[in-house]
Amino acid sequence: MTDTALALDRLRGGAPPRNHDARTIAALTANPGCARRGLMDAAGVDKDAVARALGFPAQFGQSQFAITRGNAFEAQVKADGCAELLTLLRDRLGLRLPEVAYDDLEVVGGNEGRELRYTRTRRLLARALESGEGTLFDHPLLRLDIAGQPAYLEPDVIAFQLEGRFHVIEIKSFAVIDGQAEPDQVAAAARQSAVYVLALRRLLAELGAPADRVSHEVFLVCPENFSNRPTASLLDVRPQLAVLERQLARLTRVDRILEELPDDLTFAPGDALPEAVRAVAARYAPECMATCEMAFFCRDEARACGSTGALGRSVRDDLGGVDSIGTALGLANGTIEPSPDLVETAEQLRTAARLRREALDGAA
Amino acid sequence: MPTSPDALTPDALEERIAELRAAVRRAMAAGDRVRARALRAELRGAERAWDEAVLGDGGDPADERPWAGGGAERGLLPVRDQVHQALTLLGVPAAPKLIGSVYAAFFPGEIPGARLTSLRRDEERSFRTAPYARPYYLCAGLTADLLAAARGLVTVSTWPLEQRIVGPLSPRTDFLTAAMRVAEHAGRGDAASSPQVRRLLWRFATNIPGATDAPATGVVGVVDPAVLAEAARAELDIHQAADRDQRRQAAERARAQLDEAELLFGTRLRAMRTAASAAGGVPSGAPAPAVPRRRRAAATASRKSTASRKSTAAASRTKTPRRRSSAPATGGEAAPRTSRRTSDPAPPRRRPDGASNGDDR
Ligand code: SF4
Repeated sequence: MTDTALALDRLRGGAPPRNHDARTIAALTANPGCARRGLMDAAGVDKDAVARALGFPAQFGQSQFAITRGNAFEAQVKADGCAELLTLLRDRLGLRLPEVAYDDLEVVGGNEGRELRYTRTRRLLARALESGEGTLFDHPLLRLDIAGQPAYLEPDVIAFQLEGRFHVIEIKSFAVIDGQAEPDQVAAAARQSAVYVLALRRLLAELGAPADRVSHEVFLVCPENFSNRPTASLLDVRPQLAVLERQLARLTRVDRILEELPDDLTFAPGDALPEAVRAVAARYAPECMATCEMAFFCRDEARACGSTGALGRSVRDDLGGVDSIGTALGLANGTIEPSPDLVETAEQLRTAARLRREALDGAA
Repeated sequence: MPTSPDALTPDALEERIAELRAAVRRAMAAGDRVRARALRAELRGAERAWDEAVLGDGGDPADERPWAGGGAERGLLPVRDQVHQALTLLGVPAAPKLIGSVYAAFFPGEIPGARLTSLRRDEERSFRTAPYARPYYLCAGLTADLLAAARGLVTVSTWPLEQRIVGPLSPRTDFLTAAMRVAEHAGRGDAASSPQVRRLLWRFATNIPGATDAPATGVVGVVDPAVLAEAARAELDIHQAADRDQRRQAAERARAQLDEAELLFGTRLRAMRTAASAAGGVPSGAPAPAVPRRRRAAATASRKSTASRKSTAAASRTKTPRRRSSAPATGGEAAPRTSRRTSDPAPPRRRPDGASNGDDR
């Protein structure tokens, strides 16, 4: 084990690591500047549990109804040897009749651990590349380097091989009505699928295959017109792939974050937990509320120290370099002398303050 | 029930089930039978909710079948016999959902869907307690590569082992075989006219090329059983030879490597945990003393030679159901029992008792 891996184990305080899924990675790339989230995710810390232990339980997540419905629809499409899925693939992509092989890559897991499942995924995909053997690979376990650390990805998808080319099949339970689906949901599906496409490409690259052996077109299966009948469409995820690759490259490397931190830091439950979490710099923005389990804690912290980030990312960017609300106010009313790099910002703040005063006076 | 289990997530339900099991044990230990009975009822409710949430069998199938409403229409047979009948008709490893639809279509009454999960566990417990005491057991399909229980499939112990193996092509060949058998059955008499049968035929036909062609019945949406059987046979011809080879090879390996219980229920890992919790006093768990194997005469014809070969090879091995008094505190992530096993699969969701081994989802 590398030093970094050991350090990450320690951060988890002995708890087993959580697998990433596309949702967590898409969220991670939504706030690439946050070292706190980057570190906790790299270590596979259960952020939800940490947030609860801190007294700031997260309040988001898919509704139970949606999850149950999603599971039921997926089970239906995959029932009877993926009967419905094969029909769709034959109709839409011209899958040939002999191509029906189904390998369940999910069942090796659990007791055997992720390495074993990953190895099996790798082995079967390598075989598929070589001999063309295999058609549907259900729940492959993939791996993606996140901030310099390998993260296991638990995809809820099927990898599908058609004439030597792999596709990601994503089964979602939102309805497609007259060929249209809710754009937000399609966008989210595209973002998540892109993560799988990228991870699959990285795996094939390790096996010596070119990136285009994995299609940028995702086969999205959804229920049609309020019925339970599945329909499929091809989703081009090239834009999402480009964004994802850029954001992943921007993530601060975990080993660099670790360098700045004390050697005995851990997120294990206990009295020292709040201290430990605060020791890692966060970069709170209101968007966190929708994407990160730590959001309530970080918001509280950001407000308490008057961080400009709490006002939103655009405000923070407008205030370029002014980190605290107190400083911003001081610069605006002239009680704080700006340092040379803040002269321009201070000038704007003073102008804004004057305009506001005039407007209020005029109104009075 | 204090909280409606239906409203809970599978994870929460699993937690609840574990709690209830412990509570039942405590009540039994304290001799409080009334409380134990109440808790057990609650436990069954939670298990049902889990079945529904995870297996997606959803709701009471009786809702859709007004004709099944009367008690008289309820099958008079024990559930295991009902399942056996449906599986015998199908002749292939099948998921509880399909078993239920087939039974409802061709037999009087219906199988209470949620019972299937506990059934598999009971069968295995019964076999391990007194091997071959019953003429047949409902058991697992074995995956061709790892010889572990295939997820979500039920089979019959008296089938040839090859038939119970599930290779990469088997899900499809089994689907096509089931379609043929259902079509043949429906083609006899006037069975095809019942709505359950029509729905079942349609479900097969829409996913087999050519099966909905030129309905001789002349009614759109009604499948001609003969056309369906023909179409299924045509596609089956494409896959069958390769599938048979894979199944045969795997069956040979299984006979050489597995003991008798494993041949029926798959290579085990979490069986140890199950045993541990049963030993802890799960009331429904029959105490499982070391019972020597007997009545092997009832063993399947296909495995007789294997069985006798095994009995000498395995003479030194204990045949007592393996149990551990000290399950690991973390919930039984145990090491593989022998180095021979390459893997023991686990489903992503499983009951906390681990008893399902993932094969009855
Ligand atoms: S909520 Fe906190 S930890 Fe999560 S991304 Fe935002 S700032 Fe980072």
